[in-house]
Amino acid sequence: MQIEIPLVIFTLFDGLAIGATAWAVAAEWLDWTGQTEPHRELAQWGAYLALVCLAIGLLASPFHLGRPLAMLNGLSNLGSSWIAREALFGLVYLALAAVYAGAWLLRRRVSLARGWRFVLANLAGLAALAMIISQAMIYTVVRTIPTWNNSLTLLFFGVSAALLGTLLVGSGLVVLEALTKSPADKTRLAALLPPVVRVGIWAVIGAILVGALQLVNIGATPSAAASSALRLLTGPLIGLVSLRFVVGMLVPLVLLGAAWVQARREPQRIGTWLIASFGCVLVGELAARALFFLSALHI
Amino acid sequence: MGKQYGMVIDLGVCVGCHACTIACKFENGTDLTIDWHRVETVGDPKAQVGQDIPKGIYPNLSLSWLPVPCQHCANPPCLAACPTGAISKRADGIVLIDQNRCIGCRYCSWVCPYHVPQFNAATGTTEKCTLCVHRVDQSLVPACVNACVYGARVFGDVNDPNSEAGKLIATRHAHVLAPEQETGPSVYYIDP
Amino acid sequence: MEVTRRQFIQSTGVVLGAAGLGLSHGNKVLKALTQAPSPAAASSEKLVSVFTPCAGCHQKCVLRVHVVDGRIVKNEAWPFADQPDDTHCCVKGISSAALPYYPDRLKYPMKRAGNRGEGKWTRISWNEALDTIAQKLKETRDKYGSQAVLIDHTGSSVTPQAGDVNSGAEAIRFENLFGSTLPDGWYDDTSCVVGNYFTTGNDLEGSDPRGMMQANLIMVWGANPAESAFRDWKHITLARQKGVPVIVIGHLFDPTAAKADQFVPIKRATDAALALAMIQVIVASDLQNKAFLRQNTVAPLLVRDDNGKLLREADIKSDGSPDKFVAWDQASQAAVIVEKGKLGAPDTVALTGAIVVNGVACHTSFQQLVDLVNAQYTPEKAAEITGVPADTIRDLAARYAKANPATIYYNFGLGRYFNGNLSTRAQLALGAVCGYLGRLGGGVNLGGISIPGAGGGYLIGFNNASVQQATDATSKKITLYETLQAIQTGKPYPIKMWINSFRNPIQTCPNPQRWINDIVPNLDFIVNVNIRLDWTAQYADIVLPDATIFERVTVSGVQDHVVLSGPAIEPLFEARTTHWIWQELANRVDLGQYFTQSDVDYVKMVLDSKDASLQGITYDKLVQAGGVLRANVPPTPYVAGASGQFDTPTGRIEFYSERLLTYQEQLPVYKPSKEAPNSPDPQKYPLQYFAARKKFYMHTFMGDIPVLHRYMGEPWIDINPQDAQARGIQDGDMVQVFNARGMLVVKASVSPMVPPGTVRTNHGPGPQDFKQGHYQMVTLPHASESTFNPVHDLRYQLTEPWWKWAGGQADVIFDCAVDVRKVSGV
Repeated sequence: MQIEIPLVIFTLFDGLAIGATAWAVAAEWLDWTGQTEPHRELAQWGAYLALVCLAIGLLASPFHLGRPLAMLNGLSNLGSSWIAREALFGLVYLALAAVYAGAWLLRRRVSLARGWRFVLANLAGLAALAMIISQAMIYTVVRTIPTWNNSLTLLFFGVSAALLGTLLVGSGLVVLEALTKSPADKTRLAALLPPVVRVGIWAVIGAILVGALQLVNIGATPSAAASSALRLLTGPLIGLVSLRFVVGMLVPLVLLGAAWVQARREPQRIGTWLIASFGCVLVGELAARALFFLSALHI
Repeated sequence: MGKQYGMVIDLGVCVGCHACTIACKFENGTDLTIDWHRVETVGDPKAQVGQDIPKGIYPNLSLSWLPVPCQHCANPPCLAACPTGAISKRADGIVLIDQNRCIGCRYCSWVCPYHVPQFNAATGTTEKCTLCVHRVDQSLVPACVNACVYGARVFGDVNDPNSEAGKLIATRHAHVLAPEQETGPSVYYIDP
Repeated sequence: MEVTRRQFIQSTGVVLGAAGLGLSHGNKVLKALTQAPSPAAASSEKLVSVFTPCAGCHQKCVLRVHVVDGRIVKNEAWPFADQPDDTHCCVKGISSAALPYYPDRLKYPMKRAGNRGEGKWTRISWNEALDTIAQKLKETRDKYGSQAVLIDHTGSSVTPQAGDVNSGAEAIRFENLFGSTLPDGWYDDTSCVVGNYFTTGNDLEGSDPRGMMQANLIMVWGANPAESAFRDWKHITLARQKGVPVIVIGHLFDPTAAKADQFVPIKRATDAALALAMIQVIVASDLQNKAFLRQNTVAPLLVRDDNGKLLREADIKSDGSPDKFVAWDQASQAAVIVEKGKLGAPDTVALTGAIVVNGVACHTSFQQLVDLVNAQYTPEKAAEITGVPADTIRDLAARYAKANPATIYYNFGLGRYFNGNLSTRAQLALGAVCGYLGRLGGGVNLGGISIPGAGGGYLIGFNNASVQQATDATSKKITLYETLQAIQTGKPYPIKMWINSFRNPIQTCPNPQRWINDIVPNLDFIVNVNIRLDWTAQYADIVLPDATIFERVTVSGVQDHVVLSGPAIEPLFEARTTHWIWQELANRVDLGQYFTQSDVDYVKMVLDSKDASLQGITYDKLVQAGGVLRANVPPTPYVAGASGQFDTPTGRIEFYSERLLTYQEQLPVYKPSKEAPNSPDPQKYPLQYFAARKKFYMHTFMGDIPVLHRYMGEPWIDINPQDAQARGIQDGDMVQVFNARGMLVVKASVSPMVPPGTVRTNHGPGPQDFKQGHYQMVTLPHASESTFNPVHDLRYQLTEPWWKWAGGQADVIFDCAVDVRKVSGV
């Protein structure tokens, strides 16, 4: 089908948002029992980045509609339509993400019990999870498009969100660290990077596996549409496929691997590797989504 | 079973003349490039609509045609998928897209196995064959059925074994398209 | 449910309420429309139904035209309540609802502003246009004589030459009064006319296709009715459903072939050989219908051995008549005199053998035929010529003979080769040998033509002469060949002015270069009456905007009914009916006194007929009945030849035609045509070529109605995979199709619908659709010296029917050889 640019942008940005929210929730859990909140910035900046990315994504989304001004109609058929459900959870997520981000932003002026912030984070996380599952289901349930109609679609969206979110918050931390004046904060922020890099490496490996499995699955699907899709992917679309796997996965793997090695010796120098790998992953994930639509052949 | 309007199309009679497709366009005033009804060529796989390229090696060739209106399914995937609830199914089985509710997300066109819903860029909505509901409500047959002077098409209640359509389905080995999709189409075909 | 309807034809939109479409039928069970609208409905504002015989072609489908607020919104087939199986309308008839709203429709009179063909026009008023034309008429008449004016009398609003009463009736009236030149009617498609004429004396031998329900076998032979003849195909379909097997003998695997129970591929232009071989097999198996041969054909008549002429009574008796013929009675061993037109003969009359009568050595005509086929058309010999295997020929022959009866259905395509008339003659001989001519369910029927008195059913005796002949004056009638010679050379007399109404010879006839380079420049003044600027109109000096068939009144004979039609809408813009145009011209050339009648008056005049078929049918009764009344004709389908009236010298079916001795065609024989089936230069131009019918085109018009044009897109050429591969051509490549005469550049469609050795393109697209060249530019020019066929000319010389499809020139439009090469950068 067509490249569906609004949907490519929408899913990229909500993937970033959902991944960032996941990190925020994880940080909240890690710091839940402690007093000093060593992962504070992860939660805080996870919240801010999630909100901004989600807003951008949700703004892009109506552009794929023929009548965007009537988009609220699209909430009606919750009984059977995954698009309606995704829209609902997306709006709920947006609201919760905004309140959660607000809780961080206004923490000095509005004194909120930590428990409330923790609850908000988890609720936002649940909404994010519901949204990404709904989003993946939109495509998974389409029986007429064999390349979508399998469980790898859900894995693709999930791993993609994890990868995007990880490198987003990682890059955010790098920038923060560079801008922070306090040496103590700097050290603490720098110490957050290696775990992010480690998770990032796992996420890239996950993405490679899912991506490879997707190709294998298309090849193994006994359908003319799937065979044609494979021909496309190995033919006219091979450039995008290379972009996805090489620039989007193999290069980041190397960069993050280098970052990991570097982290053992000079923790303060891994920021460049991290940001570079984020740039590559962005390109790769855009390519992956473009491919997701372009190779979506209908029976 | 309740009433289900549909039709039986005899592919042995259909000669690909396209009167049905064109009559539909005049009846419903569709845009030039949007066809609510189409006639596919069943021959060489590369044959486009309107090209009669047969399959095989001369003179051992085969060529036939497949008219495709909306199938007005018993379990319409478009209806389930539509986020706005614009798609509804009447008591007589006709499936309609409410053009005032549709937001043009085109999800229905993705999930339809028959490539029936068509996006109209001018209106921003997705539209499709209505089984000429405005004619049916006046006890007339759909325009495509009316236009087939060769009698390849019979309109009626496909769930009624005593209707002309019902009898044809029972006696002529009529089948549906893409049964594995489990949509329960109401358009039956008799093979050539 | 409210659905907003958008007009897709380019004009102001019309929003139609759901209630406006479709007639109310109350609680009727779902059925097709069967009721005629009442006159009251005709005047309602919401919806008007008017039926109009489609202007598309000769199948004469009657349309129910739906008009809302003065605008045609849709057409559908009109169902005859008393003849429901004759409900038919093709995709072009349906699309004709858009015809008055053609995007490029001529809106007002125009005169040429630059050179002919340059495309520059200035708008002028009707008065200026008519005054100019009238002045030119007078000038031409004064300088060269009235015969120097050539007038074509069809029109956009009439079915060309299809037996419509008003098929140019006003123009014919004018032609006769003015004394202009009228070429024999046809620009092409005359082979079957000639073949029929010499065999049965009727030009267009065709039975009502409904008769095919009574056939036990149908052979569609040289026709593609599934794409070009919807009425005929409807009846073939009904017969198929009844279980009648259909064999398609043809060259292309077209939609008709796709529906056949058996497809028999045959080389182009070789059909005569197949028919003759089938005769050979039938006679060898003793399956011929001896009684029919004796009683209805020349079979028993004796042919002199010395000169090949039929033996006359005068040859064997001193006081014998030169107009009576001789057969031989074996029982009494004596000659039997056979008078012209007296059919029937006793069983004992000899069909075969050598017989000497009063010293004159003879053979029967039938023996002549048998000797011919045994010598030259055995299945093996025919297999070499036709490509049809000998065993298949035997099988076809046996099935045909045993079917009892079988129909041979053919169309103009069979004969579109220089010697095409022989194919028809051979088929007719085959039909005669099996006794199927003149029989319900039998016949050798020219399809496509739904004219009363032919495939259109019984002849409906309109009083055409009352309109066409105002006085005894007549137009000057010559052949098309002579007409074109006259324009080019001034001999036999100069023709200097041409008024053409809707015909598009530059594109419909072969070889447009000849028209553009040799004909048009020799004409001082050209007028074109049309609905659009087709290729021919582009070379006119003045164009006049014509009314479409929906914008005028006419009455027609259609499938045993009389149909009064129109108008559905008022003529758009400044378009006018040809009735008005000829009236106005007549007024300006002192003939106005003969043109005072209205178009409704003309309808009444032609209905005022003594013929039994029209008794009791008047204009008022037609209006009351909603416009359709059954003519007073028998209820059973018309069968050609059933009357036993054969307008031949013997009054019998003449498979042996003495008049053609000079050309060695007294019996049907196979003769290769100019470029088919064998190229004159197989090294350079090895491929057979034709521009064949496509369902979205009606000759050269309709195909550019937007809703149909999108299916055709760019023109293409069908080329077999073998030929494509040999030339390095892939599907979608641009190729040049060429020979010594011209070329065209088109997209290649690699398709097995053509055999290796043949390429095929669509007849229809105009020059503007091609990047270079045009599909007619490779064809032979017809009615020219190089394609002059004396047999065709003879047919014209023998009779003088002004409206009959005389056929003074051979058909050569398919008679063409080319080659194809890939081109790039186009």
